[in-house]
Amino acid sequence: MINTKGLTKQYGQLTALKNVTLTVNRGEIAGILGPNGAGKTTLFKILTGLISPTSGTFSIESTKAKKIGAIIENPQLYEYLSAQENLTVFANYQHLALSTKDVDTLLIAVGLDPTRKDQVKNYSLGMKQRLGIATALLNQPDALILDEPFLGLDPMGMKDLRGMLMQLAKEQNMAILVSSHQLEELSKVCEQLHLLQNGLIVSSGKTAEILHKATQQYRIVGDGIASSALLAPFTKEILGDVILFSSTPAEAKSLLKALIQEGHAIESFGPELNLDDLYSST
Amino acid sequence: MIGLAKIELLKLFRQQRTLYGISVIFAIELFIVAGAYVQGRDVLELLLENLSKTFVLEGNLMNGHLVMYLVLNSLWFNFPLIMMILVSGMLTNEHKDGTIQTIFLQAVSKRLFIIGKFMAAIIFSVMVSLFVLVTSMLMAYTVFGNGDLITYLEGLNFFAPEVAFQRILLGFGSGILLMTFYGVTSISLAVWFKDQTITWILCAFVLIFNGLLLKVDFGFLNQWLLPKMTNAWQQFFYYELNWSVIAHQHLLLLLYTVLIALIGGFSFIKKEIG
Repeated sequence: MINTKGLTKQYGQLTALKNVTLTVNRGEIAGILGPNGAGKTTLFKILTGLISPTSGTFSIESTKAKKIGAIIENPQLYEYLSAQENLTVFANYQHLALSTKDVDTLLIAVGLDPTRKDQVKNYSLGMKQRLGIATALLNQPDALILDEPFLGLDPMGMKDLRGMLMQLAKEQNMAILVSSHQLEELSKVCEQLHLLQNGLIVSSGKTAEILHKATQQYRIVGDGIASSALLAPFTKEILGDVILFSSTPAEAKSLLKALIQEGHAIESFGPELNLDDLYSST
Repeated sequence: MIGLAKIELLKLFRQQRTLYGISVIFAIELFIVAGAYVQGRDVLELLLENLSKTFVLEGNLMNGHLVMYLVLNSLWFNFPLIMMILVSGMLTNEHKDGTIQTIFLQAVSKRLFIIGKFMAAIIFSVMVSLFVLVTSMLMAYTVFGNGDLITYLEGLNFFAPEVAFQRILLGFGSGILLMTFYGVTSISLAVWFKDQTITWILCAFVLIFNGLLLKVDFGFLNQWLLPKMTNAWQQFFYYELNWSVIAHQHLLLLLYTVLIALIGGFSFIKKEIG
């Protein structure tokens, strides 16, 4: 379990983090959502012991030598070494004796090919991200924090990463804290969301509730729906068969039902998430 | 701790710049040997012109011992500079590439980490010194053969071949301590300044400043000042060995090495990584 109480970090006159209090339970994935400079990385650096808070306390509930695994900013690896060598070096630093089999198992677990022996500098960002996670998982910590893990990943990579995080939370009962400014990705993987703005948590709660507050528009895709009279009362943007319309959740639900009854084949329907809307709603 | 030093050395030798650095050291040795081969005898004749009017100089004076002595003179600047660049990179590169952050996201003790860096710096310094000793010895004695060694320290000193060889070995032994001092200093500089380019500039500055202070007479302070201690290896090329001065200078150099390592290590432990 990750627990913080009143964490504050000041750099001279600048307050990077103000009185941050949050809890992430074991087996749970929580998200920190915030724009660049909101204080996400500062919070993570405090939680991993890289910097000290000016005031406040935090605890990571664990009896293990390595309580928390993390990737902060980008996965920073030895580019001139292979993936296996990177893991061996980081394992040796913490006196962890890994056999070749252990290393290969870890690589497979994060979706990397253990037969690849070339330098990490040849790897794509997504592959480096996976190797970074493997490094974070060394020594089997009870908690994991990932700073902007979706950055630079293709849709397939994002999907794989989401799957991996959910698996780690469920199967290894890890407390996972993920930061991002990509609301959509966080909403797909986190049960709890914390909105961080200018170093302050401005809103916390269940992901669904927070998204509910943020959703001002819905996106609906379907054959010939643009001509339906049912859409007439709504403020909307029409882009071929894609329609963005503003409504309350209840109205959107009724509209969807009515369009189906009218005989339209609906290909997709969902809330249009917008970070600006989310902040303005807090 | 040995394990941590091993990791550092593995990383050091897997980087291309280490290969380049060692190649440059070898190229300097080659250059010294080639220079001695092409011009050595002429220069030596010119230097000994007056002496040969009064004394009969016999045998091969442009020999392997003299070439080894010339190689030893590179301990003032050339070899330490390259070594300091390589050794300081062991820490500045971690900052530049951000890998220091990844290391301290693991269960790693700062104290053990920095001790590992210092140990690797010491081992690498000894390895480079031994590399210079072996390669230059092979080249010098193969190309120039054996003979008496002449040095000019408060007058001309002549050493018979067997004594000359002992003095060369003692000089290199002292050189190993000096290179270790520079290795440890470069890690401490990297701790204090983190940035690669700034650390390189400061390494060069330390060597230049040291070279300048070496020529300045500070009176009674001479026996305590660090720059004077970096010249300790020259003590083995006086005709009479003054063991009390030799012991004093080497112990003091060792003390300075330990002190710089302690201050550097303590600073590292106190500093935040992020």
